[in-house]
Amino acid sequence: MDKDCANVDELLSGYLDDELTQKDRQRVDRHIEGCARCSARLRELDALSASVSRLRADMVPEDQEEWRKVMDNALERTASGIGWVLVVGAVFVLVGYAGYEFLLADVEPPMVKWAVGALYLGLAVLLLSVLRQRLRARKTDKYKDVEI
Amino acid sequence: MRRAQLMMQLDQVGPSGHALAMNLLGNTADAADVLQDAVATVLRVRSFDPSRGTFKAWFLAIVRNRCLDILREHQRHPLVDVESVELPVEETDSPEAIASQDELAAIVKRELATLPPAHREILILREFLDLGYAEIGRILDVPTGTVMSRLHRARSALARRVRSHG
Ligand SMILES: [Zn+2]
Repeated sequence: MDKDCANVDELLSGYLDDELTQKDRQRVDRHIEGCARCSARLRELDALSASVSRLRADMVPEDQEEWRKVMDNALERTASGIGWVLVVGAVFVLVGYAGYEFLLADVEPPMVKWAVGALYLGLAVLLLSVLRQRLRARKTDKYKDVEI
Repeated sequence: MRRAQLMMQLDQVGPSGHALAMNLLGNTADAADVLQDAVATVLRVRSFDPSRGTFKAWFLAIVRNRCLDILREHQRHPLVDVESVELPVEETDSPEAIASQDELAAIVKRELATLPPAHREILILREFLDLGYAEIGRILDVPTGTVMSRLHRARSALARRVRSHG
C-alpha cells in the first residue's frame, strides 16, 4: 500500500459516516476515482457497516419491558440505600451517646471500663477499614486513562 | 436536575444503555446489574452538566465505565492498547463475494461478539446506537479525531475477520 493509499485509508470510515471536513472528503473523492484498490476497500467497509447495522434489530431491544424492570429495581435500591443511611446514622448517635454516658458513670471493677473501651476501639478500626475499601473502590471508578 | 425530569430523561436513554451493556458484556444478568448501578448513580449524584454534552452521552459513559469494570473483574479479555497495534496491509475482497446475506450476518454477528471490547464498544455506539463522532468522543472521553481512527481500526479488524471466512 503506497503512502497516499495509506493516508486515504485512514479517512475512509469518516468518509462513510459523513464526518470528514470538505477538504478531506474531496481528497478521498479524487483518490478513489483513480485507485481501484481504495475504491474496493471503500465498498468493502460500506458493505460491512451495512451488515452490522442490519443486526441492530437483533441487538437493540425494542420493547421497554426489560428497561422498566431495571428502573424499578434501581429505584428500590436507592430507597433501601436511604433506609440504610438512616439506620446507620441513628445507631451512631445512640452508640456515641451510650459511650459518653458510660465514660462518665462510675463502674466497678475498672476492667469493665477497659473492655468497653476496647470494644469501641475495635468498632472504630473496623469502620475505618471498611471506609478505606470503599474509597479505594471509588478511585478505580475513574477510567480516564484506561485502554482496553 | 429535578428527580421527575431525571426519570423522564432516563426513560429516553435507558434502552440505548441497555443495548450497550448487553452487547459489551454479552450477558443479560450482568447487563441488568450494570444498568441498575448506572441508574442508581444518576439518581444519587445528579451532576449532569449540559454544557459538556447530551444527557445520553453522560448516561452512556456511566454505563460504559461500569461495563469495563465488570469486564476487568472477570478478566474475560486481556487489556491491550488497540491504538498501538499495527494494521497489516489490506487486501480487499467484497464481503458479498464470500457469503450470502444471511451467512454474512451470522458471521458478522459472531465475529463482532468476539472482538476486543475497545473495538466492540465503538462499533456498537456507531452502528447500533447511531451516534455521531462528537457524541462518541464524549462517551469515550477522547477527541473526535481519535474516534475516527479507532472506529476505522475496529471496522478494519472486523473486515479482516469476516474476510477470513471467505
Ligand atoms: Zn489508493
